[in-house]
Amino acid sequence: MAAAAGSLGVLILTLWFTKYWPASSWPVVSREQAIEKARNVAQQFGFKATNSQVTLTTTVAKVLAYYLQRHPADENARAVSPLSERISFASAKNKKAEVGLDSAGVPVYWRAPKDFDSNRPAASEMEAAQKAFELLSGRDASSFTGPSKSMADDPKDEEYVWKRTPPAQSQVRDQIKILAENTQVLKAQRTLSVASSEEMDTDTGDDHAYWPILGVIFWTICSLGSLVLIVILILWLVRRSLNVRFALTAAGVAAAVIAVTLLAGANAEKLRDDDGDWGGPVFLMVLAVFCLVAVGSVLSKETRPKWMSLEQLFGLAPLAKATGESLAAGVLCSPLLVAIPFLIAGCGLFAQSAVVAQDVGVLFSPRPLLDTLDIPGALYVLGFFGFALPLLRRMLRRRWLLLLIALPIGVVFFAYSARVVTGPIIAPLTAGFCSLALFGFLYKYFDLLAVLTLQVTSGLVLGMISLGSKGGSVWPFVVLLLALMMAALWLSTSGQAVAEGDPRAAIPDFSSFRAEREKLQAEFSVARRAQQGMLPQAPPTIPGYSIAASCTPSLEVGGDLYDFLTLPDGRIGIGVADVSGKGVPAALYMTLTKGLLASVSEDSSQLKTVVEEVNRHLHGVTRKKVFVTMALGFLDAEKRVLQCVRAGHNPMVWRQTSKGKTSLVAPAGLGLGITAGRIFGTQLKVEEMELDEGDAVVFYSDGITEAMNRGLEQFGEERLMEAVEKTDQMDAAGTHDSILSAVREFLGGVHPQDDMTLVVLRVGMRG
Amino acid sequence: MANPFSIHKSTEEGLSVLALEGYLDAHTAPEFEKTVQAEFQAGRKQMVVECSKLTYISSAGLGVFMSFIEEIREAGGDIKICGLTPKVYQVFDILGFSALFDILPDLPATVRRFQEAPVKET
Repeated sequence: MAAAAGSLGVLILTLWFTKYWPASSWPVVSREQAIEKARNVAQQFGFKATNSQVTLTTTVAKVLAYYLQRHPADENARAVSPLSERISFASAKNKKAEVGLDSAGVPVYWRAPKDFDSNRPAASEMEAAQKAFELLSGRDASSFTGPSKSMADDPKDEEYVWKRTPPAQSQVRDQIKILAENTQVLKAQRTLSVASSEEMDTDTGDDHAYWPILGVIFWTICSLGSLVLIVILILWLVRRSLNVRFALTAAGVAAAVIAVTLLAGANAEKLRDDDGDWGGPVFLMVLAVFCLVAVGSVLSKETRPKWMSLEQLFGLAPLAKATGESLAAGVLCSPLLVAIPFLIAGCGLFAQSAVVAQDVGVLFSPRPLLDTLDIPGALYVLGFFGFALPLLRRMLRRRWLLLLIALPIGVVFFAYSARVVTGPIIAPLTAGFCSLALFGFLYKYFDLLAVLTLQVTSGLVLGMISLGSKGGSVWPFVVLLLALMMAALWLSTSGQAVAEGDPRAAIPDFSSFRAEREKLQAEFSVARRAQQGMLPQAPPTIPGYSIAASCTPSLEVGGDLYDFLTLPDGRIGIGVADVSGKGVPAALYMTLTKGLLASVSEDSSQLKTVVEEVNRHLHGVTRKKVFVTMALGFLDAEKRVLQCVRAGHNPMVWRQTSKGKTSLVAPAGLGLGITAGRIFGTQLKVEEMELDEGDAVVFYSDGITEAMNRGLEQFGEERLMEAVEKTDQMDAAGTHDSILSAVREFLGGVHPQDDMTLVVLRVGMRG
Repeated sequence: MANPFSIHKSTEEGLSVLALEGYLDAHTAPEFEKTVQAEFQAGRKQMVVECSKLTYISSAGLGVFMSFIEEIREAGGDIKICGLTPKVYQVFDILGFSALFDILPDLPATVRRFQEAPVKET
């Protein structure tokens, strides 16, 4: 499905990218050439641009770009390309000179640094202005008339203005304004502006009158959302129910990504505010990531799987299968997201719609790969799917109401935040709807990680084809995308299936309710101590035998149990039991089972009677769905006879050392609490084992045999029996530890998903 | 697409067939439970649970089979199970379910068993 979407995207892009990408028809020089040309221009204004820090930013005159798409034959409008780069040379604080070039390298702008002292002073103010005019007008100089004088931005100053007489059919005004003082030029600018009859708001330089309206809606959504976010954040901070650690990790990752981008210098300009300061905006962005993740991941209680692979990526299982699937889906769908604006422009349904060449900085970036990392874009997507949607979902229980409210918000949100299609208002709204639909598809069938991957990789894809269509090197992009895709596919086929079994309950470290858990942790650790205290302090001492036992709950409290009994006839009872389910309910039934076993065995030494009685009581009190499995053995120490029953429990392992034989002891028997007396009794079989010197009997719970490693293999009975065979010369404690370390080694760092209980009985060995 | 689980309902010679697919665990068990309950309340008391596409069953999943069986048998119906993969069969078997339920290789065999013994003798 995702692959089909991707192919569709590739198809659309192949058909329509060069046709509808505005920058396709603009000549572009390289970054190095642009800087060299700018240096020359600065030199001519008398500024020595060596030893200074160079930054390059790009802007697109969208109105002009749009006009050019509709009037490709207007030579007048082609005098200067709509894509221009500003090259600033900063030698010290406030000593920043700026040169503007169009994408072909034609000078269009000059601004002198503060307290400028030109090393090439002109004879007079007029002569300085004249020289600047010649530089900016180039070969078009003869078609300009002027100069006339007009008021500059600062009313104290006057500018010299030259105007080009436009041909009759052209709507574009070409003019050059120069601000000179005494003998030097402070500011010079050539602008091509489109007359207002083109239905465009030329004052703001915006494409269409409706963009400000969409912008107001967009920012209202954003600020209302932020307000709600902050209120929830504060409330939950007080209640300590936030997912702080996960949010800190996410914020840390965001900070690292931004730091790399800043250090690389490529994307730095995008992260600066209007005053050129980047500290504030970066701090705000990292803070926003923290708030969104802290609140969003807890808010999404009902849609928690949506956060899971993201949490796993930053958590203990970065190699999870679901992570791979999400990554692959995101990468595969990205060409389609990039293609949406071109589809809108090319499909012919929306007259006069066009693609806006919004971000062409990649063409002049020293490190194009990093320049395509759109951090604010990812933040918007995280805000919508990670926070706004779960919030609305919580507030609005009815599905149709949710759709009715979330859909228009999403459409406006995506139309405005992408801002890539212009034309009649229906065109960008349709583009917004299509983007929302694509993101929504990934969110519904995959998760948040897929959505974020789509956003990030679509930046890469757009950057790659933009650069490629201008003859730039796209290999880093191809390599990165392929590597990402391979990694994702590899993960999705051979990753660890965290979803196996009871994912959310089984892997508590991924629980998003970390803070809530912390609150409960104190109480749980009391419960855990109480429960562990219920297990025997130490195995009984039986002359001629050694015994070792342990129970490791997977959660704070568990449903596993082992116990030793002293029976009225002097025999010793050894029992292991496992309650269905996990956590607190299982722990309660575990306690009940332990009590029943202890009290019933005070009155009877008959193995079958004891187990039948426990079953009768359990069946009376358990809810219908709960059952308990148990393996119970009564040992006659002197006669070396062990009587065993297996009530729905895993079979015991019997190692007959002297015979070199290992077997599973599995007499028939139903789980406890499943069915009442008669049928339970007829099914339950007792098996008698005649033990020999050196024999070992191992009781265990399914947490041992079903322990699962990253490769989805279970430890299994075979491995357990092999582990037992290797311990023939050890006493019970040695055997016990050796088995557990074999399980741990097998798991290779994966957290056990179930309680693990192990009891070993060894005959003899001077025990 | 974490934890996929689905139930496909159909009828076969008047029996209600519930074909399970995917993971039946603590999170998906309620869906199965609701389905069985709905069938029972609609008067379809003879149910076949077809498990050839069931890849995993946890104790909570097993609990669903137990929770209705007495009620259904008292009403003259039964739940019979067929198509278990060896891995899932082992889980049923260890718990002793083979003594409590009719477990059959495939659907036709289950249909025949319903004709021979509508309620399992226990």
